[in-house]
Amino acid sequence: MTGNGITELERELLDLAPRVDFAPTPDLYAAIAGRLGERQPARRRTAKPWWTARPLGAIAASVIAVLAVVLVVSPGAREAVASIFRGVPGIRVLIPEEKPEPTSSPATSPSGTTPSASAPSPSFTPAAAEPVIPGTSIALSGVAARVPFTPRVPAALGAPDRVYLEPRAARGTVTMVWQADAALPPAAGSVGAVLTQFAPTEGGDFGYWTKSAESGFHSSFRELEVNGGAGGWIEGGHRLDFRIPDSAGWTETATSRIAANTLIWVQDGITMRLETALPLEKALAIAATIR
Amino acid sequence: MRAVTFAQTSGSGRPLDDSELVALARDGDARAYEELVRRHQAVAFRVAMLIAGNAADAQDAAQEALVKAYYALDRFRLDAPFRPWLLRIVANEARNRRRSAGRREALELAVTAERSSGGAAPSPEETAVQHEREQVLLAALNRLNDADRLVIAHRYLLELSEVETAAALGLRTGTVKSRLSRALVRLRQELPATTLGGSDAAGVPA
Repeated sequence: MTGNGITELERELLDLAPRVDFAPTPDLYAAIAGRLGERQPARRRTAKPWWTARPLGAIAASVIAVLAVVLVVSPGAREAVASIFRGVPGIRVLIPEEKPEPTSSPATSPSGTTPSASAPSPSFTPAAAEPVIPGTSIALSGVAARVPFTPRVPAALGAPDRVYLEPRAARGTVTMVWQADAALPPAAGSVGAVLTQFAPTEGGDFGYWTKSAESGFHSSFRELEVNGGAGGWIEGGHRLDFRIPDSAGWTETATSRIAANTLIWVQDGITMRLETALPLEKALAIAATIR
Repeated sequence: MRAVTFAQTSGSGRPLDDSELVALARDGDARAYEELVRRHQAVAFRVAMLIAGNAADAQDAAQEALVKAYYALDRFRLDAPFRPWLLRIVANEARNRRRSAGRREALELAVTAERSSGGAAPSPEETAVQHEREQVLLAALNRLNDADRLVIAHRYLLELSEVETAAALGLRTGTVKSRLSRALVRLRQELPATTLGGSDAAGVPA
């Protein structure tokens, strides 16, 4: 048997696909719609219908530097998504059912500085495991030629210790990693900072699931402006999914892990994601040195 | 150009993706669930057809599965792709129906009479040659045992991913891979040596 013969046969089968005579698909929804009305799911809330969803870019502009949502999900709580932030292209922040809990972060001033922002979230302990970074290791000097944008290095952090390239996502997703040191506390394993950059397309989609149910972490999300572009800040442990499309065009989750404090924003058309254990103002200070 | 394409997300534009729709449907948003059904009903029905063996049972199975899926949305993990999850439920319903009916006959695969448009119309001779090739391939496929035929049909004729094929057939992804390669070997053995893709691929016109 030759690999060639198999490939040929597979191609023939795929050519045959649109010609196979399946009975026409009946209108299945019409047939079941009445049965869905028989009873609603246990918990109903006044969800905004999806077809009236407002473009989130506009919302981002109007609530700059204001705490948008504080969320705390109690362990075991149902993981319902209350809202979705898509102000930064290529990144989705799924924000669970809101349960405002003014515990350790009481007043929020419109300027965006909160007491909780001055220190790492007390409930968050960095993961002991080294973070799984999508892609393969590549030299910093060689990465620019492989992606459709110029990767930036924050002057405050200096040259990264490692650089990774995931070519399948967004025509090239670059992730830079800095080891933890005296000034950079560990965010995950021995890593102090992770900066991911990509020129967003419909393929390279990070997903964030900010919640605490499985880990006991508390996380909060707010929209803010970073370096003049739309952005957001996720404080505390939250799940990070990195998705890449497979060859058939279906999106599969490539990595999933608990991430530390994360700043996301768009700068010159590039989506940036900076993960550290640092508080907001220090993360913003690092971001400000990206030019 | 595929004549059959299934629902795809349209990226950074406005249409919400599956997990977003699921999240909204969980909260009782019927329109969101309707959108999900419309996106996936064609592939759901075809999976049911392949397994149940006829259109009537396939329709029943797919409808039952879609109702069950609706009430099971709370158990769906939002970080997972929706389609494999749905197809698993559909395939289970179809298998149950087939089992309870005590049916043995498999779906006889056939090609449609009409030709998809696009490109220059082929000459009658070309059409006849291609039609014959298709018939030979389908006949070979229909001679395979159920397990081989189903894995090939799901993967190539429905163009499912390995993950989706695994979900529909209740197998592990690794098993799909190995079963698929064995099924392709057997399919090739069923084909006359002179057929494109047959066991003697030498001398085949490009």
